[in-house]
Amino acid sequence: MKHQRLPAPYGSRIHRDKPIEIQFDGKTIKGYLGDNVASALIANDQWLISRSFKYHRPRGPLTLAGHDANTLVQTPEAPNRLAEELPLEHHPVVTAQNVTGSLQRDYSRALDTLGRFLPVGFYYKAFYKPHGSWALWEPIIRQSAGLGVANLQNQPGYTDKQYLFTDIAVIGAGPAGLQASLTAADGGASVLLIDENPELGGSLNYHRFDLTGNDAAILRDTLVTAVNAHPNIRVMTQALCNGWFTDHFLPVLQGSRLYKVRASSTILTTGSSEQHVVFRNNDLPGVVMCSAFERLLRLYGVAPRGPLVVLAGNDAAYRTAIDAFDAGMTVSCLVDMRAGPNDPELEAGLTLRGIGLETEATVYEANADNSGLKLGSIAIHGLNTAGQSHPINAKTKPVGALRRNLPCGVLAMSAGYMPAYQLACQGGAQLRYCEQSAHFQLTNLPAGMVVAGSANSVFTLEATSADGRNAALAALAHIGRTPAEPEEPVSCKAQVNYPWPLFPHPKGREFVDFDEDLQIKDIVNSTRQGYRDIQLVKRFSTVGMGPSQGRHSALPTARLVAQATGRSIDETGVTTARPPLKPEALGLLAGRRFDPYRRTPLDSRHVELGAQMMPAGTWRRPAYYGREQQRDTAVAAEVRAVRHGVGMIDVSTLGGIELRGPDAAEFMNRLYTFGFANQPVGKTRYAVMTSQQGVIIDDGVSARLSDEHFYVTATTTGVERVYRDMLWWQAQWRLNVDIANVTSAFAAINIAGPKARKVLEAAGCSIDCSATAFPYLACREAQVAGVTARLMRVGFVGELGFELHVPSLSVGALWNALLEAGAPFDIRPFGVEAQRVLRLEKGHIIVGQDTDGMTHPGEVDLAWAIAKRKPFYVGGRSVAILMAGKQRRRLVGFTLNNDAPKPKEGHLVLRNGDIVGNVTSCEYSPTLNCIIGLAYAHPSDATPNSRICIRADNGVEVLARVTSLPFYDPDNQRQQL
Amino acid sequence: MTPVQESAMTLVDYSHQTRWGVRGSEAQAWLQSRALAHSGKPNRIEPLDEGRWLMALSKREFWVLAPSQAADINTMNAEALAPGVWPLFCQHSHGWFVLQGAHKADAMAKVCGVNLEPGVFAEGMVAQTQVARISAIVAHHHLNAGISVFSLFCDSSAASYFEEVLLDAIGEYNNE
Repeated sequence: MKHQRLPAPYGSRIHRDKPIEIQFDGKTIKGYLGDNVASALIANDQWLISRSFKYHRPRGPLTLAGHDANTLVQTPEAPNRLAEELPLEHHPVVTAQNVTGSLQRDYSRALDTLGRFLPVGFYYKAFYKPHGSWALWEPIIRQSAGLGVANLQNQPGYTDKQYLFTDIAVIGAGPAGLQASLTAADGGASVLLIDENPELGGSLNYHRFDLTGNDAAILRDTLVTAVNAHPNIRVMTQALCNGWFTDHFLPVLQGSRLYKVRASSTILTTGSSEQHVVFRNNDLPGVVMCSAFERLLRLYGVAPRGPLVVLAGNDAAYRTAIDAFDAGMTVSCLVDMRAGPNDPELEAGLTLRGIGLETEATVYEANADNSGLKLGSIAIHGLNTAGQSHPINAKTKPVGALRRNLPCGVLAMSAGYMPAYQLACQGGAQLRYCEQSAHFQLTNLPAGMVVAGSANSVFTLEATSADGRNAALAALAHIGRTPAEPEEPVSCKAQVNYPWPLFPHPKGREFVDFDEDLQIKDIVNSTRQGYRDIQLVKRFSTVGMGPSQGRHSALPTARLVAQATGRSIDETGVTTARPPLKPEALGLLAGRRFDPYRRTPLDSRHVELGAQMMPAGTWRRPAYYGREQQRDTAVAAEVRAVRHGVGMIDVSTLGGIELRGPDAAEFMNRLYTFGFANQPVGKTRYAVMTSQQGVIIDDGVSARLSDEHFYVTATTTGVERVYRDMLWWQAQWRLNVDIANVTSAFAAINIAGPKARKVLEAAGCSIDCSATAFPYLACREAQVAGVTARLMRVGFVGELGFELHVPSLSVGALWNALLEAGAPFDIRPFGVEAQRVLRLEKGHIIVGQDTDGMTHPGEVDLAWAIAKRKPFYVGGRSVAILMAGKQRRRLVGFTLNNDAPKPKEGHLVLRNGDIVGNVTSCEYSPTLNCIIGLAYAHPSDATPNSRICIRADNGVEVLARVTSLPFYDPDNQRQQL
Repeated sequence: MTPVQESAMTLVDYSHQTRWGVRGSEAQAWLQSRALAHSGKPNRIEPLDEGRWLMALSKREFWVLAPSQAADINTMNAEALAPGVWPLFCQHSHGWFVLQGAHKADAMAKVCGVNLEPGVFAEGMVAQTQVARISAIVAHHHLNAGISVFSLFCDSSAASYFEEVLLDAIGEYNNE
């Protein structure tokens, strides 16, 4: 290491006994456990870390708190990581990004000299003329856009989310936050204290609050010890509260987890962002905030190569200079933009240490050293009218003559502070500018939100603690806990902001917004082009849009826009703050993936039988049984088994709803299109449900098990909606009926084929299953293979069929019994694919596949399923109107020869070049040895033997022959065996 | 009984243990007549004899839970037990898992938006909510040894999924 670290107590974060080496841009960098990449680089005298977004200017740390974009680097895992947020031990390899060539020699630096040709709004005004030129420019711009490179091969780690519940959330663990937490916890509230740093204390860990430098550490130790010992306080460090949402819903990022915090009240002790001075080349590596310099000393024990110059707009900067001197650094000068410090002891402190003082002066220009990559010297100029506003175009320049040039290794500056207002403003708070203090203050906070400490414009240690206490008392009152002590007024008269730290230079390069490379003239020119509102200035110039989110640019921009537009700074304001506060990984927002799936009780049996499983909504169902490569053969074999022998299919996914009570029949009659009031016990009926708009929304089978008991099936994916609609209507009608969704309580097997009855009898059925005793469309309750079952004679696949509905825990035994009993009849399980072919051969529609959001019963030939004499059913009036109107389409069956291109579901049906419908189902029929399908066609093409034109793959148009339905067994003899 | 907290997190499948339910306007009275008493407050689980529990999901829906009794899966009556009293099929319709351990509320906070911390969700309380994007019932009670547990009920067809996500959620606490 080029520089020895300072001894303890400097470097509170680092472990000197645990050295670490990393590679940065091919160079070996040495540091310690506790360092971040940025602190280690500076310790190795490497200030250059990145290149700026637009002009590729050299950049180094500004805040060392992760609050700026000057240290964006690339890691193997991800681009755009802030070096000051990368723990050294976790990032052995880090590289620069956004460079052409190398970080040291970035050829894109030429853009800096071309800056005059890239005025604000350049990208809005260029590239679109002449017409078509964008096609030329787009690839070039895309190539240069962005910063780092996403590693598309990177495997994301595990991320998840967790709720946290607390009475009071305290954001920020500085002196105000610590005191607020203690007071709130003492008041009986549960407190969640959140801080983005690894340790508690905030500025108490690095800032010198008094001349001796003792007060902060004493207060910190007292408060932190008490907080850690308090049972009502939960502490979260290295945790970022990245937004504030209604009702104190707070997203907090910590490690690989997004916490969703539910609080009753929020205390914002988020502190404030130190502000930079706007002068020429204020972005050179080596120009830092005073707080950044203090962090270097106190947290990392780094005393960078000097000499140090401090540029002050307040008293706090004096203490920075004193702290640096006491740490052994050479402090050549303190430049105060004011006439001198408010506290005369500070000046005496400088004198005592031999630190020079320049008052009513500023750094007007910073210059690079011989490398061109780091600060080398500064030019100090006097100020003509210090402390007053200076019109940018005034004839009398505010900056006076050169006083002297100074060699300078590090320039620490502090123009004042801006409240960390973002979370408060996300909640609707407002910022009001006080001309007297030259400071924005938060007002109009939402209910339950309290702000304290420097975020509340309170800066002295004593006042900060008192303010934190008051905030806690207010929060306790908000959550209904009566505070044991009254609030006491807090007064802080510290003048911390210099009113106009903006010093335009004829050669420019005085940066207002480091993220977006925006200078004074860019902001002013935005207003000259008509973008006078601060929100429009933001959108036109992109000020505040970078990762810093206006922490440092909002205040100078407000001042510049106010002056340029002749309004006050208060009237001008700042731009809207929106979450997230800082960039966040999408993986954290996604969290752990929850992808619910459902399995029937027979799932393992299907797998054992070699089924290829497929999704059906959230369910997993067997598509067919056999190897994937033999799909068509397997499906055809299953179809043949049902047509000529016997097959069985797991239909447990069918929805099932119990309707029980004296009004069950009346309820059914009102809800479904058919007549159910007179449905005989022991019989089933096809049940079609329409919406109030007359659209078919579901179908199923209604089985009347007793006078007051209906068991209704619904489609696999539709049952939740059907059940919900039933409850909704029952809430209106208040009939005496109990409605229970028993979809998962019952499992079901459909055994189908000419030999189905024989298998059922062989399995041991307690009732007579003959055609006369148990005819088509009847339902019975019986014991099958010792299992209590509801049996329905159904014909969905067009063969003799029995649907057996049994308690779900019993279906495994029934499945086994049926397989065993069916073995002599070559029973074969069949899957969804075969079922689809079988039902299509029979011309049965599937609601949701052969219907859409417009389908009424008349379009799909279901007028027979409507009881026209009953006074009411849901959707009845709409259905009548729709069916009485002009019909625009009709679902028809069609056939094609085997050698024709096979249309797919969704392919269009054309008539004279116009779209009149689409294919809804299409399969090869092994039974009929041709292609069959259903499609919406023009009503005049619905007669059998008409031709419809289908546009298939690659635009090939095929003429299909319209066929009457069903394709198979038109006399319905087979299902009635 | 004084609840006992255990530190290790365990998730046990109780789906094969007995549970049955009734629903209807007369359900509570019908249960009362069979010495199955409940205060009638919805979303409360209250102890019965023999280690059984009676859970009210509304003023007209009750579940009897018998954690120590294996279920008889072959009986399922669907007809009215009395006027205004209908049987429910919770043995078949719902999977049952028992979660215990000191961090059970923390683990649930990873999959459920309801505050299940002991100070808020005390023993005897029931939440009908969403867990990991599916409907679920969470009941806070204790087992025979006085161990505080959450009984979790989900759709039986989603039990595998439910168990999977819960095991994932408790994993970090057992690795501590």
